[in-house]
Amino acid sequence: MTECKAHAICCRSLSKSFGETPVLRSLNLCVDRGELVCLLGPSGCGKTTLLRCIAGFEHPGAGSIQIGGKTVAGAGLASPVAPEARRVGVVFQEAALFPHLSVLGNVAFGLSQGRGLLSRLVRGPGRAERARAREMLDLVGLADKADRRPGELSGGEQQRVALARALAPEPEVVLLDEPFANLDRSLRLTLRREVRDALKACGATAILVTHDQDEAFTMADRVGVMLHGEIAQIDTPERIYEHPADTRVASMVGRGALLDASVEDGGLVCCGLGRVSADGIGEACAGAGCSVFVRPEGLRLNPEGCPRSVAGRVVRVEYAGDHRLVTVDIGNGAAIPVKVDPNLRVSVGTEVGVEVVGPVRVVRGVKPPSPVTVSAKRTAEAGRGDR
Amino acid sequence: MDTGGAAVLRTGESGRFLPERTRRAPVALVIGGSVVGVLAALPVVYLLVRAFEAGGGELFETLRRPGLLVLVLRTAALAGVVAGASVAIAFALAVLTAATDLPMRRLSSVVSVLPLAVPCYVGASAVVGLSGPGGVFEGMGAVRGFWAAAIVLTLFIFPLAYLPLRASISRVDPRLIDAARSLGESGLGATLRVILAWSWPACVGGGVLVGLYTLGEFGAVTMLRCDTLTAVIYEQYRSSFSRTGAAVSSLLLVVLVLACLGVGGLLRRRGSWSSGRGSSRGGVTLKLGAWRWPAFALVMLIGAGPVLLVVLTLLSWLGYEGGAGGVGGGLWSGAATSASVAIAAGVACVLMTAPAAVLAARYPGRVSGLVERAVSTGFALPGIVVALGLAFFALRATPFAYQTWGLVVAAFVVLFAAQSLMALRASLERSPVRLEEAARTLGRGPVGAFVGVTLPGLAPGIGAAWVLVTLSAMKELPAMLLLSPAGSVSLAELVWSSTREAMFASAAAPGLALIGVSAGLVWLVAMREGLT
Repeated sequence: MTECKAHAICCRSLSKSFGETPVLRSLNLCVDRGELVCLLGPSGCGKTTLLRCIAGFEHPGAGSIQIGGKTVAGAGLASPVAPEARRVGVVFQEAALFPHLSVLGNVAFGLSQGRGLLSRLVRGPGRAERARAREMLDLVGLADKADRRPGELSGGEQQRVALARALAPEPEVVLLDEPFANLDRSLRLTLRREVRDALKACGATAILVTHDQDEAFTMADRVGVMLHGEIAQIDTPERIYEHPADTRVASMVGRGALLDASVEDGGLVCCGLGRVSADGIGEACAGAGCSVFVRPEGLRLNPEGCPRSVAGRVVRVEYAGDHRLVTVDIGNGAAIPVKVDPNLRVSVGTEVGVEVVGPVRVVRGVKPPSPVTVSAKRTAEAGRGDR
Repeated sequence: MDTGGAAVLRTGESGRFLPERTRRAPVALVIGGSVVGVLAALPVVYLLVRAFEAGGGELFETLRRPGLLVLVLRTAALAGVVAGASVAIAFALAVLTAATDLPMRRLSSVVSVLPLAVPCYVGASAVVGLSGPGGVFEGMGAVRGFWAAAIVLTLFIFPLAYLPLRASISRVDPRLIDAARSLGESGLGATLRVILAWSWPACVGGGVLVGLYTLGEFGAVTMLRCDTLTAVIYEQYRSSFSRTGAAVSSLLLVVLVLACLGVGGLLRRRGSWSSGRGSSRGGVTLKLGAWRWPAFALVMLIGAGPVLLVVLTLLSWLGYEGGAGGVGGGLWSGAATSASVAIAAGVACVLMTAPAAVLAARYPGRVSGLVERAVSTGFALPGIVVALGLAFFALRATPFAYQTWGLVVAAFVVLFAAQSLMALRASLERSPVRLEEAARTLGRGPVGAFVGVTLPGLAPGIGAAWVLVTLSAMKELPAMLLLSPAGSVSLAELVWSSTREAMFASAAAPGLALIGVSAGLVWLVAMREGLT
């Protein structure tokens, strides 16, 4: 475990169940100092539970968590370290600002821990605390709203205050739990930039949880794709997009065609798009079955009957401003998305040819983890209902 | 009077149709609704008249009476101490029962309001008896004076502060606690810095309620020999030559009531707490860990301990000479007196507040606002002040009514009209105007529509209002003492006079009966608050 001194956060073999339902399955995650990691996953994949385990609001059933090289949960500890002793900042989905305090009071809340309880209770923030709080408000661009009440702020402003509040005590790591989910789209776009800038300006280590792929890709240094309680792949956004580790990641991130194929000699595979060269065949012997994956921009639409293309019929056309996405049925029920120039007018029903121009990748086929048996799930839910 | 459909109905901001403001209430309703308001305002107005007609000289003399300042200060101090201690206990219990993983939370919540089942003067009677000759605590010396009164009052009325606090604390958003803890605040610190701040308005409101109650408390303070203004008012009134003095003392008490409300207003404004929306999902659940059972024991000790002590004491007295058998006759006639007056007061209260409730719910405006304010003033006033004001008024204006049950019932209406008005109004506001309007379009007149459609739905509200007033009237002491016709004695008076004369055994049976009555009240309250 000594290697983790280098990391701001290190989760090892983390498992957690609610009743009979496993939520985290032997999950591993290490985050470098100053790094911003986005965890991307569908709802129910355990990402919020992971954040709550790191923050100390939930305790993992097995495995260990280290923050700043210090073990806060897991083997060797009599009991998990309390949330307040972990030096972790949290930004919640609904900002969770203290309604009875001003904006400045909220940001200064975590700065008074050096004082006694009575002093914290009855006296407002001291001079140094106010200065630090103002500095943080400056960072998020809200210095002029220091004396407002949280109720007087817009949703975006509330989230910026929540970020300033989390950053103020210089935490080892900041955890952001879908912080933009309640905001409208245009606000979300600007806020993403501002939050990333603020985090980077502080040199903060951060984990952001989201189900929005754009958000994860535009903000993160590394993206962790989380599925069924484990991290399926963690890498830079580019690598995740271009080299999805398995079929689950491939079908979750971005669009593309996933096809069954069989390996042939000479780095070729045979699939619905014909005999094409593919990356990542590795040691597979000729004749073995595999899955291949190709992105819409790796395909080209040709007139019907063109050489090197596979014939198909257009079944759907989606216009997206800067491109058009044409879905082509090439038989056997395989619907292939192809990205084309927005000026290319094609109508549904046209017979076309599809040609492979970009990389085709062999991806590992992964079955979803053994599903919880129905009876076990029922008991778990019944147990929760009783509470 | 309607000037076309569009003018009668206008769309409110919420998109619902609201009755047009300018729609006039029927004159009969305005008059009927105002009666209870006028009655509620009568005592204070008449006390003012009585005090000032004596002339400046006599007024000044009365105010310069030696010891009066000490008395006022003692009354204020008692109210302050009891309010502060009650809020502290109530906050601790409310946090434990509404925001932790305390075992048996529902039972704990009910036990936390249980002390209300013991009227303070019954509790005081037991304490005085226990510390008197032959009592269990005889060796400790007599339990008397300021601190004895403060402790007894706190132990039996802190639930008045517990109820609003529990309601407020159960709405705290759990994310706020998580946020505080992630910012380095310990469990205790987060509780105090977040929950206390959040529930501050409820703390102040509960404190004011306890303060008002303490200012008006008569039985317990006189039994425990901690004379406050109420005791002096009673003595001055009984010694009939000093009636101006009684009026002046009553007005001083009214001033203290206003001061109590004023302090409450100031404290509430401090820091201008914005009202949080509250949590929609389940509330906070702090983990008590090893402290779960000790905390549970503490709740049981504070909630059930004093109640059990009093009940067991009274039960043991039943066996003594003059206990159950001795006062049999007095007990039954007392019970009959209490019950009949209280039932009459309940009926009168519901009948008199009904028009005011309709006015407030259907035609909100200046008249209904004034009536509501007058009625809530009556609720804030000490029983003895109301009784005195009505006695003065009857002696002057309607001598035939003096020392009749009618006057007692009138006093109870002033004191408890607010409870009845609130219950009636709430159930009226729950019954949709839409239904009445549907009945109108089907050919019913306004009264016919109300009686045929709205009234049947009001039955539970009317029942609740009647029970609340009746049970409260059963345990009322000072107004009864001052106004009841000569020769008749209520249960409350029996407890009071027996204790004053150190005949504790004869206080036992009526005391237990009153505890039964109050237990009914507590059960009602607990049901309404969703504790059971």
